[in-house]
Amino acid sequence: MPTAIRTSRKRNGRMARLAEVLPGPAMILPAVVALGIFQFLPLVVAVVNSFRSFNPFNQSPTGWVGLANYDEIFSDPGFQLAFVNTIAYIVIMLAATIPLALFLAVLLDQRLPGSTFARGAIVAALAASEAVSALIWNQLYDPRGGMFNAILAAVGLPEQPFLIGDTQSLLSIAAMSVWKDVGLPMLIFLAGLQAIPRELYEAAALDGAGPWRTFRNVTLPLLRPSLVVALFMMTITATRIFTPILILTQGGPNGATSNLAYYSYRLNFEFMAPGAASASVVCMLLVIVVITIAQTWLARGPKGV
Amino acid sequence: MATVEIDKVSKAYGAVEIMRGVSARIENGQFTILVGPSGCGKSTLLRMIAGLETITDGEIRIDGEVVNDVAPKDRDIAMVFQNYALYPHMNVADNMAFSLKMRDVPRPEIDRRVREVAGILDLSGLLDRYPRQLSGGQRQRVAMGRAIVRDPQVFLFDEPLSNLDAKLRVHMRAEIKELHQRMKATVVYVTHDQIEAMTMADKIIVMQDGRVEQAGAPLELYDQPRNTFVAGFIGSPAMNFLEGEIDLGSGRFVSGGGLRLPLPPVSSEWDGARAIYGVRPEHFRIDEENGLEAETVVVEPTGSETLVMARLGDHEVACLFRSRIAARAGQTIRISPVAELTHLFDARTTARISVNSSEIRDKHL
Repeated sequence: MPTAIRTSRKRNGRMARLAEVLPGPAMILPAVVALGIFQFLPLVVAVVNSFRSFNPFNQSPTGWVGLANYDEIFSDPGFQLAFVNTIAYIVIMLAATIPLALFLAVLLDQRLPGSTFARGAIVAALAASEAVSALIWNQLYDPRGGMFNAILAAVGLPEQPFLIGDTQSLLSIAAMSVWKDVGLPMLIFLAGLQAIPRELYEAAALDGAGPWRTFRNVTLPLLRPSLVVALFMMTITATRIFTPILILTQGGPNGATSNLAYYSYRLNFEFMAPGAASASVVCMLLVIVVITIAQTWLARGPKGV
Repeated sequence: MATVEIDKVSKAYGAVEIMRGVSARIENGQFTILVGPSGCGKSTLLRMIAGLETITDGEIRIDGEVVNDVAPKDRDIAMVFQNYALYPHMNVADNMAFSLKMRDVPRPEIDRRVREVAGILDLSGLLDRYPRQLSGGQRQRVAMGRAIVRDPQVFLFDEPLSNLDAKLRVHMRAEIKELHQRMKATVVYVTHDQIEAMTMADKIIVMQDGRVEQAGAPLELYDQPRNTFVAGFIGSPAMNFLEGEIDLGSGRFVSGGGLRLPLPPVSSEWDGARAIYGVRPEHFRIDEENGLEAETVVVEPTGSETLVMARLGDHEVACLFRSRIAARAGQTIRISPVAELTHLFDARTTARISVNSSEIRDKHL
């Protein structure tokens, strides 16, 4: 009898433990499944496909080819250019958006008259459709009737071939992306700024720090977590620039504006080469991973923060 | 070291006036405490001295120099904030060194001063720690160290002890007072805690609704409160107030409920006037022969003294006895106030009208 009681109690205990442990995983299961199907599965498929060959007519896999897809794209000057351009987009976008976003955030944080409107306008650019924005900028960049050349002409400067010049075109696409995406890091910085206690600024003022030294010694170090997030988000955004390229230049002139995202797209949908396209996508992923790891390491804080 | 003069200072946000014509003088080397209920303007006044709030009208002078338009960093003032405002990304040594760095003091001099002050405040072992690795009391000391290391003209403290637990608060109170005696610094200290004010201050400035109600030494405020507000605010437990009339003929105060209480000295012009009778709990004594009958409601013995809440006619009064009282709740005791230590206030203006002098008090000690 006592044994029976003990086992039943034991079983009850086990059941109770299960009842305690199960609901957690059960509740996150739908999210895990959705993420698995829509996020991780395509990623895994891309990596797997980068080692396969495909029938160019019906896109069905025809066998394993090892690193042949990688060999193929590495020897393609188009890939090399797209790779260099991807890095160029990242460098230009980070160099332009991060300081600009920080400047705008500090300005908006002063709560000057009109800052609500300004914030709304900046976020509106972020919320606007990429395709629509690209079409608007296409008009602005138009060599004949475009506003930018009209402005240049009005002030007596030479007109520019914004979207067809070898050097100008990449910068033109980057400029549009800066305009469109600067709101995201700005919002991150604004949230970070508003989380800094006011007394720290008052303490710094009494400690004898002027505006620049306060920014340098108090604001900037305390924005470090926001900076890491902003760098991370902007690196991904810059790597994935696609719609403006497709709409404004189609990668031209001569691949001058093509990046890995656009190059992969063309391999898959124009040249019907899913294997090589997957290899190119994997390269793009590696770029993001390497750069973000480097950023995290460079922006690491002292142990106190 | 410096003198701070506050001369008819006003502050308004648009049409809302939160401080009107406040004047006060903080002597060189004096420990002055601004005290009052929340929203009385004490913190605002402190922040005006620091330069963190603008002054709408009037003048603030430090050592005779008008500082209304002088930037905080040029006032040579250090402040200890309520939540310490330590820089979270700097360790203790860097927090303390920051102001010296901003003033371009040479590195060896900075190190020497930081080490010296850390020694005074018992922080020597914590110099490499970050604020989040410190306890509340340690953070408090770092905040003080950051102020002391600069050797400023004036120290400002904004409710520095309110985030500490009761025991630590008593300890830090003594520590700050000792530090002040050692450094002979001019200190302006804000608190809403009248016990903190009484125990630490050389001079207390009691504020209410953006006005100074009374300024003076702690015992002066206790013995000679200018009005019912100061009388009720200073002293714990708080003074009992009874409304009624002065009857000089019988030498009694007749309360609304018909109680007849002995009068303190008051000039004859007040005969028959409506007044408020104030008696501190500790100025009641047991008086078996002539005392008034009072029914005890609550008896709180603390060992050293006994706090009794008692019903006296229609009024409930607090009495504090230095002796142990045998009475239990519901029993009747006979008590009478010490006439010379009671106060009379004008019922209309709440200003004190009775004449109290410290000689009278001394006689009864």
